[in-house]
Amino acid sequence: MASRSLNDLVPEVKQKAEKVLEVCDSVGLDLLIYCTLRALQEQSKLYRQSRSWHEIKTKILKFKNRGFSYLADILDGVGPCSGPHVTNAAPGESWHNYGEAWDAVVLVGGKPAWKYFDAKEEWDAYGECVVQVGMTWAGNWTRFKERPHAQLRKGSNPLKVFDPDKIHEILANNKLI
Amino acid sequence: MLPILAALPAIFTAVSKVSDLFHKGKKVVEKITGKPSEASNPDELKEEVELLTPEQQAQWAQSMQQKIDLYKEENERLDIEIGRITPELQSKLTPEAANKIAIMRQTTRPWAVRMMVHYVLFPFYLVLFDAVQLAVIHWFGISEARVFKTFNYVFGALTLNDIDKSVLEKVSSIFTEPQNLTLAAQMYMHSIGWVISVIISYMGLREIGKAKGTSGDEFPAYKKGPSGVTGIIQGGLGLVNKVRAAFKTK
Repeated sequence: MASRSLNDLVPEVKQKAEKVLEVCDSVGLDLLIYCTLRALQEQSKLYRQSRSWHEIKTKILKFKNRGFSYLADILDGVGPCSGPHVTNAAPGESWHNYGEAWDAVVLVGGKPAWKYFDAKEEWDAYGECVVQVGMTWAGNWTRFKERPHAQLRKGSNPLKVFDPDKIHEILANNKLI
Repeated sequence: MLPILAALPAIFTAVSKVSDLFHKGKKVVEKITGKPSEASNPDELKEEVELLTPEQQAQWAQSMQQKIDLYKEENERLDIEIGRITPELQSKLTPEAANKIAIMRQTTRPWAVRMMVHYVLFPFYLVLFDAVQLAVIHWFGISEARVFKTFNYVFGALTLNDIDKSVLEKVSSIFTEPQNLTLAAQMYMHSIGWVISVIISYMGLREIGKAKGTSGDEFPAYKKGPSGVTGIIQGGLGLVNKVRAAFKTK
């Protein structure tokens, strides 16, 4: 289970999350941040739990070929896992693994309003807050809008945005590897 | 010490499922040993804890048990709060949602009015009850006992003399032959007018309330926005503007 503690975010993102919560509170918008950090080991377990050994082995090889051997080691190291299919992202492919993203839901009448059209005004206000603090709001993405999601950097898949050294540097700076 | 050590497997299971608890577990290790925990996953943390002395393990287990309990309570509280509409939450509802709740409440009768409706139907209940008790005392042949005679004098709707009358005739006799009423029936006849007035007044007021609605009310968190096409075009700008204004002032 991923953390929902703001303390698990990197300091810069934590500060921004607190600012978003503060502003939302001041305008009367209820917001619940329900996911912050998902450690690489945890992401690996979730990724492995619904996949065959062949698929996992292919992914490990891909990681190694692209220079992400440290991610391949983590994926290999968590061992066999079983469970339902819950993610498409392998370790390192989500900004949650870096403590640089959070997922939040707006509450209307005390209940989470998961559907955008049930609480359009509130979701837009949350998105505005995220943009105002200098984060990227996935509700503004053109292909797949993931409105709860907010992240520090641009790009949906970190491994497609940065080279292996940069990724390693980010993880090391965030003390996650 | 043993009972708390026996809880260790359950604690490790909880720690492996919740990363928040994993970090707390590391901090507790650091607090106990004075050295920072080097565990990078729950399994390593388990190994670290197993290397501690039994006293330290018990200390760790006790501290973690409290943190797990707190975590459970927080989650439970969150679930309850999400599912419940409190006055505080209600103040943040949209006018449309609050109107719906107001109408639901108006169409639900208060318990006092529900009881009064039963009171109006009291003669029917009494006849049924009386018929049963008459059947019982005659079955056992104790109809001459004083206690039943007294009971029948006060509450009885039926008498043995008019046992051949139909139930409806007996009920109507309460209204048509007041001189033959029992004590309870006389009291009922005196009170029924007031009770019916209360019920009719309540129903009348409820209909007026439903017709009026709560359209004139102001809600603290939301103000009524523009309607129709204007509302669709400008929808959402209110709260967004508030957010922008909040960032400008801070």
